Amino acid sequence: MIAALDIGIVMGLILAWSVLGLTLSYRLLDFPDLTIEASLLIGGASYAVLHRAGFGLFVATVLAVVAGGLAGAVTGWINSRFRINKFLCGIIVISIAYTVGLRLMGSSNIGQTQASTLLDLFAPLDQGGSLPFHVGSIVFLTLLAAGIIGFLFLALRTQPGLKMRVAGSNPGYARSLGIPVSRNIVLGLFITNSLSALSGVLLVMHQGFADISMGQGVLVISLAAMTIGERLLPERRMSLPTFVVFAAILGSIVYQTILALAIGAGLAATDLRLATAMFVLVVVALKLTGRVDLLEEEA
Amino acid sequence: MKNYKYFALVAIVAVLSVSGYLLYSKKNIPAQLPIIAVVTLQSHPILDTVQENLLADLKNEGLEDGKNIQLVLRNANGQMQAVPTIANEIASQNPRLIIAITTPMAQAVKKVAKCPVVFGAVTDPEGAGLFEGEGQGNITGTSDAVPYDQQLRLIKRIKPGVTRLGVLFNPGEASSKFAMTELRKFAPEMGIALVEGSVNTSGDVYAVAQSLAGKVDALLISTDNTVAVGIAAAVKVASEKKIPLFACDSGSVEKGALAAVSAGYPQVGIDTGRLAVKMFNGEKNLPFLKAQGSEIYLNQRAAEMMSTKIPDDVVANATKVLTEIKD
Repeated sequence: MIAALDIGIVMGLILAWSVLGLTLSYRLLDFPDLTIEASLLIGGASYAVLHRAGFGLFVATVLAVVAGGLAGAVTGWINSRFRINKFLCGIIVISIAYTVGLRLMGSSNIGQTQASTLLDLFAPLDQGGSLPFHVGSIVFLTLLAAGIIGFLFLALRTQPGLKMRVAGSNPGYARSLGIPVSRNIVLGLFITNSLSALSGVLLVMHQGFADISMGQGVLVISLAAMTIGERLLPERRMSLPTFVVFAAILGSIVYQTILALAIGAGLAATDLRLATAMFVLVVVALKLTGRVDLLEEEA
Repeated sequence: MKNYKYFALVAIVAVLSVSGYLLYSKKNIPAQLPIIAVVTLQSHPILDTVQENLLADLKNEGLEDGKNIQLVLRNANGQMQAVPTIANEIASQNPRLIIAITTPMAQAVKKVAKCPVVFGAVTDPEGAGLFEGEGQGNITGTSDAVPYDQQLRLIKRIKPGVTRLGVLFNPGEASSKFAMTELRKFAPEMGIALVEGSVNTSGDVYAVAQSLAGKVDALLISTDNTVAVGIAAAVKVASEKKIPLFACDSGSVEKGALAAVSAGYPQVGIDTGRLAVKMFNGEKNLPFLKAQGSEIYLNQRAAEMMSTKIPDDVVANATKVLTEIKD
């Protein structure tokens, strides 16, 4: 039980940025962006390659995050330049990323089981593994989360941030105000996919390897986490950005905890997906039928 | 509205207590028995063969679930993001030994495990960062890499006159990179000179095979997805030029390659089990084992088309002899 919570918090905070990449683009830019699978792969693969080549942890992380963000920028550019369907743009970039990832890594898998990572920065807090929680990793991931949340809130309130939101939510109005819509979408997708790439980097640090198929399935678990998070938080009591950001993080942690619980209970591989799907369904159904806001005092 | 709220609370409490009970009961009853965990990335025929034989070997050597050990099985069902979760979950149970099948699973387990680890069916343990040099203390395992030395030996047995061997491969693929390193190592010992033909897309196979065919005595395709897709073109060239085409997997033999040596997966499973028992009994610094029991696949129809006679003793030792070519 405690082990599942520990795993859920760590994995949840690692994958939260992919979830947030999806929800930010979807909710604020009105762009259902499939590219998060590609940017997570490119982020993780670039980090592994750069780290193997001797780059420092911070430099490798920053470069990898930018590389992943570029995948999103490509999606936005294809969409605005060629007027291709948003889903199709994402699928095209996912295909491109597969080849690019293979070429980058030079093989389908890079092992990093020995390397020390950003997650080990606060390793002394673990007290040699005697605690039931990976305190060091959790402290680092929480600080990182606080930094990103702070940055996002500040950025979304600046004029460029507001312009970007207008460009996403009401392109016609944005054009009438003289805001360049496609440029803002490209920039927005660059940012959301940088977040997803960060998840990829953290995942490589946590699991000790980068693999060409590490992005596959991220979309599904991100959607599930988004659904859970948005049902658990009271939407009416928060501003939209606050709601989107915290729903992504909370949803990701809850989903990963449930997954860890299901695995810990020894559910057969064949039943695992059904169990997690049922859980998502229950959460959604509760909200729809009962309008229950678990964190709200009176519904 | 309030009723729903209570219903939600009751439902959540129920779910939590049931799962809590499941965990508690599972963990507590056999607490005295040491845990052996077997974790894998997914189910498919090859990995299942390895796992079945490994579990059978543990039992044969006296480690029985519920009797003197507790077996815990985990399978990520192909879901990559569940791999670190499974590795951490298993590590939190403080097992005596973890057996990890597939490369990503083994890497994730190695990252977090505090106990001995035995990996199974990892193609290139050194390249995957699992194993550096001899005697790595708490980690060992088996490799399912195609035994390329035996592959070359088979070529020599079927056509002893081979001195120049043309190899079709895509340098961008991990398995081919590994294959070429191995082939370059073993070929000189057997008096074979390699003529390398690199293929970038499946469409290149015909042209590259054509250009090689005039210069070599036989063709070989490594375990390479790019070439495997274009294998029909290579079969066509080999049939026209009457030189044998060899492969490194059974699937390519079905599609018209003349012969292949493929890794013997049941033996990989048994070897993994044996290493696991040794590790369980406290042995350390064991080197990893390469796939030994190899399976020979032959295709008589391809042999006819390539005007090559397969010696009778080779046929007698083959695991499977095919008589037609699948399209």
